[in-house]
Amino acid sequence: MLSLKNISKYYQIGGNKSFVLNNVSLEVEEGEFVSIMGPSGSGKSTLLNIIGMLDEPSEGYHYFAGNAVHQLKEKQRAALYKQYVGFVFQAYHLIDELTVYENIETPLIYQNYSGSDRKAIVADMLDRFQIVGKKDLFPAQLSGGQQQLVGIARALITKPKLILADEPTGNLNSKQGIEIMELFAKLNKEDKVTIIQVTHSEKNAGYGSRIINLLDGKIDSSIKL
Amino acid sequence: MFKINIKLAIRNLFKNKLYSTINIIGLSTASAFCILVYLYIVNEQSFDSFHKDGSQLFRVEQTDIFGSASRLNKPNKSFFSFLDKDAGQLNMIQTPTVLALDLKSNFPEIENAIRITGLGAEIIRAENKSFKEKENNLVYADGDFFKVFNYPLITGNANSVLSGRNQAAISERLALKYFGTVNAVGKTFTMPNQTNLPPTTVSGVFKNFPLNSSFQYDMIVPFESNPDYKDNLARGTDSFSDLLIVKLKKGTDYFKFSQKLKTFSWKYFSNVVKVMNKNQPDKKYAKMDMYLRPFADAHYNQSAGWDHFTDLSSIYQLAGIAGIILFIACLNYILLSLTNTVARSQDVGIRKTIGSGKFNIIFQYYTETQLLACASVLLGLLMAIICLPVFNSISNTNIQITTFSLGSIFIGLIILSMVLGLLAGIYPALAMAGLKPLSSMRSFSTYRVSPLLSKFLVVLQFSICTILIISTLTINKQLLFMDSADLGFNKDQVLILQSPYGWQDKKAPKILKERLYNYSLTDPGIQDFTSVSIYYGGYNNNAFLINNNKVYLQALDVDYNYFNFLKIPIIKGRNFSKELGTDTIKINTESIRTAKTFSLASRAVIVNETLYNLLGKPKLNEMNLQMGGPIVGVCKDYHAEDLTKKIEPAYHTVERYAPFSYWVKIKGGTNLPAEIERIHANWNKLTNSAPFDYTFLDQEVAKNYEAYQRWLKTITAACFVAIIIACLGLFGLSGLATLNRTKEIGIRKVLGASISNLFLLLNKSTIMLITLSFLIAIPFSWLLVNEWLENFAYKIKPTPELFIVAGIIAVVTALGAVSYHTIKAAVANPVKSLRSE
Ligand SMILES: Nc1ncnc2c1ncn2[C@@H]1O[C@H](COP(=O)(O)OP(=O)(O)OP(=O)(O)O)[C@@H](O)[C@H]1O
Ligand SMILES: [Mg+2]
Repeated sequence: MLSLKNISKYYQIGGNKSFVLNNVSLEVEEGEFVSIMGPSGSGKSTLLNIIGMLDEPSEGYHYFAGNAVHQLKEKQRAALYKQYVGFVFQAYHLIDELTVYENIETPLIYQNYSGSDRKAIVADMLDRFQIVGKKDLFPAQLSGGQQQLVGIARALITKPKLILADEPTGNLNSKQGIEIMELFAKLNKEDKVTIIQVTHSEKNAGYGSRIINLLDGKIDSSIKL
Repeated sequence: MFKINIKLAIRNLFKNKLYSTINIIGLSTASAFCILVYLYIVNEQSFDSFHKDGSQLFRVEQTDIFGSASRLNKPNKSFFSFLDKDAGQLNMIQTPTVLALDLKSNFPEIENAIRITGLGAEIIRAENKSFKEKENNLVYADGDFFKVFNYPLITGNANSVLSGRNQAAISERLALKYFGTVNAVGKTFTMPNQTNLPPTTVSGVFKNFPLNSSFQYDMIVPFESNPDYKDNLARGTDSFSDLLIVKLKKGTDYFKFSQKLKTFSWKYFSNVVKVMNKNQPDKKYAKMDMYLRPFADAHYNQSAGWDHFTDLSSIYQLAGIAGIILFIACLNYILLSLTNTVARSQDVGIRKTIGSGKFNIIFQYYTETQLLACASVLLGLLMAIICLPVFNSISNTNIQITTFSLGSIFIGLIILSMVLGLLAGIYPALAMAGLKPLSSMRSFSTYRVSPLLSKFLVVLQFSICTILIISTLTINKQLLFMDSADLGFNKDQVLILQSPYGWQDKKAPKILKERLYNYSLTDPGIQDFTSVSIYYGGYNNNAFLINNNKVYLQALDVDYNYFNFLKIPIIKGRNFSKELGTDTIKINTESIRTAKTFSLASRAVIVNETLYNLLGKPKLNEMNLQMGGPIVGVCKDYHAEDLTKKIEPAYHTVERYAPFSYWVKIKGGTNLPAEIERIHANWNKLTNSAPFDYTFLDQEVAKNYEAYQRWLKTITAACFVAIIIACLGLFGLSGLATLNRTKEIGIRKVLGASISNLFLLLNKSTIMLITLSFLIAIPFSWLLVNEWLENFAYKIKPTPELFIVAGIIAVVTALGAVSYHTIKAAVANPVKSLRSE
């Protein structure tokens, strides 16, 4: 599905290169459920963003679904991203002014779905996540777990092949966390969605098929479960 | 406490550099505009108000039963016309020469009376040089002129300077020009038109009249020296020729005296009315009244013959525009500070929780605004001083900052900064103080302050801007239209040379004409030559009743080749003919003398189509009793006057008077400056170096629109300032708004929004608001524009394009203002904006 070869990311701080990612190489197969772990500041989010093409590496080669991402233009990269990737955030990042329904619908608008198509797809999704009753509420009126559910529904609405989740349960209590993780596991098994998540919790990491440990911008270990 | 407030205010101003800069630029530009308008208004108000006993001075006027004043000065229409009805009260301000004496002998209330009458065109020769002065500036005036008015003399005694025969007082300016020294008393010069008088001796030199004086005289000759004085006196109430200023005794009751004067004038002028009624029985003339207008207010009145006219309605309009610009600048400030509350809200919250009272907070924010306002006003003053020369040239004034007292400027500035401070500062201060401590301390993810209010303010600003844009475009279009309109004659490349001789001189102008004509044949740069006894625009503006239509008939006395020269087609009959030789012969038959004619032509005439149709298309070459001569031809209608007036019925006579100006058509492609040099050289030979005054016909035509050009420039400047200020506001506003939406933009980008998606999203509301402003502006500007166009007999129609173009300008400038921030936000990397977790 994707592969990173000798990827580095650094910031120029006072003439010195400060490495966030240092010569990271990584392959992820389609259908995998990868958990990235590591201490704070080790570069997990940065790595995830690079995989998701939101951020660019300073050096290295990046292949995604058969495309050499490092050679693509911004526009092509955006198209690739739109087609394959869905993002889930720790802080949910729902748009406060939009209702649950509208939040979930937004990615479809940017993918130029027709109005009636959007209606059908969103209705399906609401159904599947059992949040039909909440569709007209605003994010502020939901609990954290519910918000994250909406966030995931939104990430899934365009049927991405890859879900990137940055500490999706970081702001949730453990019960809510378990729900989300079970949902991920189900998506991974039944819908064959590839998932890469960043997490601080060993337990959550256990839902995946592989755990990658980052330390000081380097892959410390990669363990298949 | 106060000191801390100021310290905090300064610190805050420096902290938000961008917004402070935007606010200062906006407020100071508006202040500069207001200061200029203030200077202009104060300057206009100061006109003629510097005379010591000014409140006792009055201009004598009579109701205008001849209808001449109303013909010469058509009152301008404007939105503010209702405020100055008096300005349009067109009385006749010329009085009979004898009136001053009769008033003095009949009314003990009158302490003094000064008559002033023009000297006419005059070539002055002094120390072997010849000069021509502006006609208005050379006058005859009664001997007490310098006693009644406060015009200081440099040399000479106010009691006696205007008492001798063949003497004159001249201005400092003239003394320097003629004699190279202010000490010119005793020196002599000649004025040949003053019919073979001996040389005139300078009896006194006066300081140049102040710029804010309606009178700008350069030479004052004792009134009785006028060679026509005795005649004028003898003609009694048959001639109205002099300005008359009376000085009432101290303590005179103005209203009682006016009443007395009224009864007096009914009797005094009864003969005039009787004669008028006898001559024109179709009209019924009422009694003739006399009216005393306070001297210092005379310049607000539009009556013909007064040298300075302050258009009150344009003052109101200017003040209105200045107010609007000030308002827009304050709206900016309010908008920006309200939107910026996010940054400040925590500050307020913390202050409140530590026990700061509401008043303290209001005062703190008000101090900040007031400080900014003061700085802006000072900067505005600087800008105004820098812009003053430009302003003077636009407004055709000569305002010097040095003529204003420091006190009046200081008071003006204080008032201005207080107005700014209160207008801009109170609302944000109250809003800030009203924030609840808890809500302002909680950090909102996306926090926007009363979006409805700021939307309303933006719509208000841009409605005003759009109205200004539409007005500017309309005025511009109308002026372009007049500039390019077909006047019915060819006005290009026509050099007008003014006759150096006075109107009394019958022979010399004709001789010069022959000489110039002969010269024109030899000069290869000259294509054609003609002469007219008018300048540009017709004269004889009396109203007549022709076949029951009241018309103003124009009489133009021209040369044989006038129509060919101007390419005006003769559509019926013939042109004037030198060969026939009959066109100049005066007809003096019994039938003409007894007929009720309305033209005094008494000879062959060529009429324009309008007059021809009015007359009912009579047969040509027959004696026409209405015209008082045979109509030999009909010319196509052309605009003998500017386009603010309709084409009037007009008739032409040929070589009836001595020519007054010589018109030279320059061949196309000729080097103009060199050609004028050549003509000047020959002119000197032909006239013995008489003053060479020239203009161009197209410039003469354009002169009629000067006031409108000025108005265009003013409105354009106001428009620019308003738009710049409004755009600055929008710029700042969009900056704050996108700042507030940074996170949302990041999310949307992650959800797949393209840059154009985001650009549209961020600017959608701007576009909608501007469109709304545009819709609001349409009806208002429609009214305004049509009202203004009423000034013109020939006008453009305010077409939809005009409005659409204005709308596009508004949208494009507004988009330009917001684009910087929105594009910046749209292309920003979402990773950054989403990181702050
Ligand atoms: N623009 C930047 N300039 C300099 N350093 C940066 C910049 N952005 C990120 N970093 C640094 O990169 C490092 C890695 O950041 P990253 O967000 O990837 O860490 P993380 O592993 O996700 O940590 P956490 O578990 O706290 O989320 C951090 O030390 C951060 O300070
Ligand atoms: Mg992170």
